[in-house]
Amino acid sequence: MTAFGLLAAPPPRAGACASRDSPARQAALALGHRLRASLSTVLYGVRLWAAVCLALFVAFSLELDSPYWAGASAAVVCQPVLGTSLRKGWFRLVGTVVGAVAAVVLSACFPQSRAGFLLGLALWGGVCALLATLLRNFASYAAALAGYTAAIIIGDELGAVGGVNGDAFNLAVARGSEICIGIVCAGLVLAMTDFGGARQRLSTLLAGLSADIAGGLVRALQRTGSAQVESRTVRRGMIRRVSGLDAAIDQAAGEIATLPFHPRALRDAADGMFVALAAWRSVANHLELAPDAASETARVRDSLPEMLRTPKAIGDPARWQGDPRAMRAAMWTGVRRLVALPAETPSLRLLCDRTAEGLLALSRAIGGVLVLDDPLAAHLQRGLARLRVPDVLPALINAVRAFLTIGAAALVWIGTAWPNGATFIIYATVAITLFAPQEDAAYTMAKSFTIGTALTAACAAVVAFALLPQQSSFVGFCAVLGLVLIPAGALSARPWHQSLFVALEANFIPLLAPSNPAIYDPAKFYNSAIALFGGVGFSMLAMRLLPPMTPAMRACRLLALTLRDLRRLTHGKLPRSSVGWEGRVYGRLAAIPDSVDTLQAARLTAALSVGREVIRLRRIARRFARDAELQAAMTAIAAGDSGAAVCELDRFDRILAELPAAQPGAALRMRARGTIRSIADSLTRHASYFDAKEPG
Amino acid sequence: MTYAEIDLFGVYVAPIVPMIVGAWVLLIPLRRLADHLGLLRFVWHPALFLFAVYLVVLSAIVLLVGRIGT
Repeated sequence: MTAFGLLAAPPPRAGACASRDSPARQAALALGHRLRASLSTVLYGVRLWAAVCLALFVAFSLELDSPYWAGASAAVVCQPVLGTSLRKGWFRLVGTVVGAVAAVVLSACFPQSRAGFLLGLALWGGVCALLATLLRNFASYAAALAGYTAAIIIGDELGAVGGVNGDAFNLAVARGSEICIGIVCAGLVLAMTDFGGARQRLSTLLAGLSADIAGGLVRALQRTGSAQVESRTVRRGMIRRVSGLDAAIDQAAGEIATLPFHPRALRDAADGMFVALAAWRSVANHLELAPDAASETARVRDSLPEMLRTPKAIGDPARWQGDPRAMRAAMWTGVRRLVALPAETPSLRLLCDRTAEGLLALSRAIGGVLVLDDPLAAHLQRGLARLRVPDVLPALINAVRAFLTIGAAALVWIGTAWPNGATFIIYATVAITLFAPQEDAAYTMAKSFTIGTALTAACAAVVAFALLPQQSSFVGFCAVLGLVLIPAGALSARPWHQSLFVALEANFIPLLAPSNPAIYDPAKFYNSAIALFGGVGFSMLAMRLLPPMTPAMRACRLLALTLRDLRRLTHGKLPRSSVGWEGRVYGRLAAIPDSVDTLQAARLTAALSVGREVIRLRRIARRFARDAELQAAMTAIAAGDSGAAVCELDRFDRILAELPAAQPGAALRMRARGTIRSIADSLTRHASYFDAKEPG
Repeated sequence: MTYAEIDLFGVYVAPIVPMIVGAWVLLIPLRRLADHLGLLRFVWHPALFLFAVYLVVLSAIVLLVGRIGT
């Protein structure tokens, strides 16, 4: 087994051996696990160092103007997870090209106006910060990068005296080429030395989550009354786990494979899990609020195929991962039986329909495991993926902060006539656009990054003036770089003060600014270090003075916006399907901050269910020309009066029940009555949320 | 008012740099005192207030050093 293969092996399951192993063996196993983890981080440090050296070698060989941008770019692209690095590299390429074009356009628009030029840069930074917050994962990174690539090019263009030197196009091509060399070198080194395991990890994650949700759904059918309360915390915790799938999907999509898959196919799997969680919630709530319904659960369970009938059988992740096709086929069979099951009561109809809905959604989720095995089997939706914007206000705050920070940095430069002011502006732009999407963690990260930048300046000074002058070859130069980059890379791969060491690996090369022939100028170094540190510190200060919204406030707004949208659903034009509504709420569920109470996510899931059911109910009412009778219930929901809404829904239920059984559509009417029960359950359970008077 | 550059191991450092650091060092006990007395509870934006105090301290140092230099 190779070293990489050894690292790719899963860690030993301590719990599984605990009962039969001696304490000494357990200690040895734990030590072995720690050593393997340490070795993996050191190997990452070596990869980072190799990528930087390769990028610098290529840039020196091509005799580029500022070869250190290639090295710096390679250092920034390197990530401990292969898929992350490669995906980040692609997005960095896109961001670089967009930023370079923006720099050229700005130069063309303001050839004689320094104020207009700098104002344009501040505006561009604001737009990029806005997009970086609205987009997710690597697309967000590309937007931030487009902002600061423009600043890098503009910084060079401005020079020491602050005049636009008219060389924008050449500078854009030069900086763009240097950055691209860095990206390609980092991708090459990482792809050749790391085989990645993100797909396997994602597959295990999807199977595990699907199994847990399915197990919970079937367990809910076995419990009665207050016994359902226990599952509430578990269910709410799962909403967070599903929200975290997005980053894992992007990592897996970045890995090089014989058959690449489209991330949208997997996002559909993640969306399916939200629906399954909502279905589980509906079943559990109904059985808790209507204990009489427990007598009907046996019929629902008996309709399920053998392999889905018990929580133990359906909740086994090995089955989901081992034979996903069989699981999916069993779920489809279960769905067909449940939909066809004749239900005499609305309660039984609700249990059948929600269980079927959950199973159908889980079959979408298991489709994700199948896509990872066989990407060609995925059924891709046509057209562009719609951007889910949970709330535009945090993005606007970030945009305004970025605009003001870059503008203020430019004013500081103009006011002080600082020769290194351009570097100051560049790093203020880098930090403010890069950390803005981190929201409440942004200031802490920026602070850690600022301290890391000071540490980098000290390390770079020692390397530049004590070690490098003694080296005459490229090999010696690389060996000296390794003294800083390998430990910095290894430490940045660990969670302890990560931003501090990321600053060390990212800022070390720009501060050292290696050139051929070597120049050792302490005054130049000192000025660059001060400007770099000042720029990062300035952004940190901006984040302190113009802080992002608190997690509680963001969660509150997400809930209020969802409630407002839900109330709009009750009136006006009936949507053709619930896809638009679901997409909006999935986006908000994924944006709920981790640090807030899990109740907020539960309320959003309740709103998701109620929205879907309102659309369904309005469609059925229209079909039977009973819109007018339903209107009172819808008005009560829109007015935030859950009590009245439940009464009106009961009245509408009686109207449907009184329709002659011989009239066509009896099964659909029973389905509508089940939906009414489900809405009433949700309104009763979360009355304080649905009755809120002033959303926002 | 005149300001002299500081010779730091052969590198001439701008005089504002040690003043910036000095003002920050002075701000630390002032912030602790404000925290201890609960003054920050009466301030709308504590970070902005502290930044303003920092600027006041820095300006005082700049003026003081300038006067001593002449």
